[in-house]
Amino acid sequence: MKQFTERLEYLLEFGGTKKDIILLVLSGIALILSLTKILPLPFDIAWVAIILCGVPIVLEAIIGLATSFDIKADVLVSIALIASVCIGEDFAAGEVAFIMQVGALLEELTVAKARAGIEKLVHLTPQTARVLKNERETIIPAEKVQVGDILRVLPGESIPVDGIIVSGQTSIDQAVMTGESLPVDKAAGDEVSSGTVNQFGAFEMKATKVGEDSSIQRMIRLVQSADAGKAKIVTMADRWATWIVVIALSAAILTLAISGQIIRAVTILVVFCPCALVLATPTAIMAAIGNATKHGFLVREGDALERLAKVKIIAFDKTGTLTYGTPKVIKVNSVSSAYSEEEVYLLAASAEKLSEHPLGKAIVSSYKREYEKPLIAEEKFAMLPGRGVSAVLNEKRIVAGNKELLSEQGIEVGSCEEITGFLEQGCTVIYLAADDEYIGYIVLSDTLREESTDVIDRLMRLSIRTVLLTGDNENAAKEIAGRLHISEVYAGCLPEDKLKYIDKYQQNENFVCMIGDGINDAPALKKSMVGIAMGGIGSDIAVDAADIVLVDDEVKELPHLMSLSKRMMTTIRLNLIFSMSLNFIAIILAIAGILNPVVGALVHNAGSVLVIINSALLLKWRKK
Amino acid sequence: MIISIIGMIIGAMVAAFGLYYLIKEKHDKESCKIYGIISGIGGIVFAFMLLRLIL
Repeated sequence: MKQFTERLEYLLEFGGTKKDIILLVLSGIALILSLTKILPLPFDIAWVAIILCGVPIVLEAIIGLATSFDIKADVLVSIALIASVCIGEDFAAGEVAFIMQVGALLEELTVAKARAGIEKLVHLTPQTARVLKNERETIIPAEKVQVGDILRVLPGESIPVDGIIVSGQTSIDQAVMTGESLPVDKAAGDEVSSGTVNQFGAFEMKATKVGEDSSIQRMIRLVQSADAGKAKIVTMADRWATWIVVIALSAAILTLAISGQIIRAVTILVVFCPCALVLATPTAIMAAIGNATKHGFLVREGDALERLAKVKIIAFDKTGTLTYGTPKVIKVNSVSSAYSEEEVYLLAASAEKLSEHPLGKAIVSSYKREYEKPLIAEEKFAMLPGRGVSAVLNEKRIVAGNKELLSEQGIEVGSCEEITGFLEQGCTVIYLAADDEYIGYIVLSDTLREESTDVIDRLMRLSIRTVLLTGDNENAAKEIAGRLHISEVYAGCLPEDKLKYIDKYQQNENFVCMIGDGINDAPALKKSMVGIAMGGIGSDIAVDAADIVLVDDEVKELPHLMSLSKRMMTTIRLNLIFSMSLNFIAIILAIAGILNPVVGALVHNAGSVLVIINSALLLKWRKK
Repeated sequence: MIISIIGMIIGAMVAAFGLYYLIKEKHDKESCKIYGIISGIGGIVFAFMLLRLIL
């Protein structure tokens, strides 16, 4: 029996959406020909619609009842369809089946394809590790690394397990864990996480957490567990199907018993079919998705906008979402009378010309954008991992890097209130020395997106609370939050912290929409009521974890999306109240014997058309 | 008479629906306008059917 139903289900799904569209077009043509009676055929051509659209509905209803006694809208439609055919009302049977299949197709189109985010996350897991034993290096599978093993990690390699650096210095790209755009300098004694990428120097580390305990595996588990709790779309008609079936059958049987007219009973069954009810939700969702697409949103989940309408809080990731996620030079200062600010800037940009470090690249690109002048040709360039660079420019030895680098060279930087202020705001400072003399510094910072302030203000006007969840340090987070008037700030968040805060809010019925771009945001994007990812700069993992994707990375249309989701719900509710009222009136008229099955089916049609028109108004909707 | 009573029930249901969401979406001006109109229509249908029943 089970094998038979599985085979039947396979046959019904064979051909997919394309097959459904072709069958619907053929059925639609057949129904028009049946109504106009143009073709003089020996049978009613509405039978084409009955077979193409009706038979699959009847089979689905039988499978549902036989396998799990699942009463859905298709059970009532099947009863009405068979009853109509039995009394010779072929057009009514075909028309009801046709509208039900249109609704099913629209619903199918709104449901997104299965997502493969977790698979991509698994691919990030480092496959091998270089283990040092008795002065010899051996490459082994990462899962065979034991706690206490000494490992070597070369530049460009992913760190295979969590551990502590025992020798060497480097910069680590931790975006996968914290979302921070800038690499973090690490030296002996510092902790490193699996999945993060070693940028420059080779180092040796001692494994502390391996296998399932490592950070990247923990993240995979977080994404998997967060996804499990989300509700899937259930249509209004299916939600109320049991009641509709019971009431419809009772009304039909009572009418038959009292009036003795089978045609009245069949008309009741036909008008009870929840055609407009089936169309009410998917048509509105389709139109709203079309509107959202025009404003730069790719809605990946059919019910995402429905869920978005319930959202009371929007949680933003900072880097890459409210800011551009790339550092820019915001201040150049000379502390030597021999060099102007422009000269300090030129020397720093020239020295960093060959640097692979994002900060070095940012200095070079900022200088070129500002001055458009050629850089000085450098000699003897050297990159000092985790510290900075050195080069000879016009026979002067230039050193650019952090405070420790200059101290190592015996150059005294001293303290400065202005620099302390910048550091407290989360900025990065590059110090510059020429021929062992400290000559100035350059301040770099991630910059706010131009539209961020306006977006937050507009969201607040829509009575939506805003929260900042970031892996960055507290000073940087508070500085940005202050400028944007965000009062709730959580800094230094790891992926599980973001998950924890979202869970806390949602437990109190304060549904959260999370907006982020990094892999570290993926669990939070899944856990939140609605996850929105930045499509351009965002990682594939974040995009796959999200329900909605911002195609052009601009958050300025976010208030429109929030308003659109609420308007969509209003449209759905209007569709529902209209279709239910119409059905109610039609049922009474059918009981009174005023409607026959064909007129009942046409009333249905009119209701369905009006529902579609009302939904289509959403396509061009914009809040005034 | 039956039609008037059923009309009154439908009118009352529509008006109740409109009022419920009018209160729920009171922060959104556009929603308030739409639900206000719906409540009004429901109210008018109810009143008309009531008058029809009485007269």
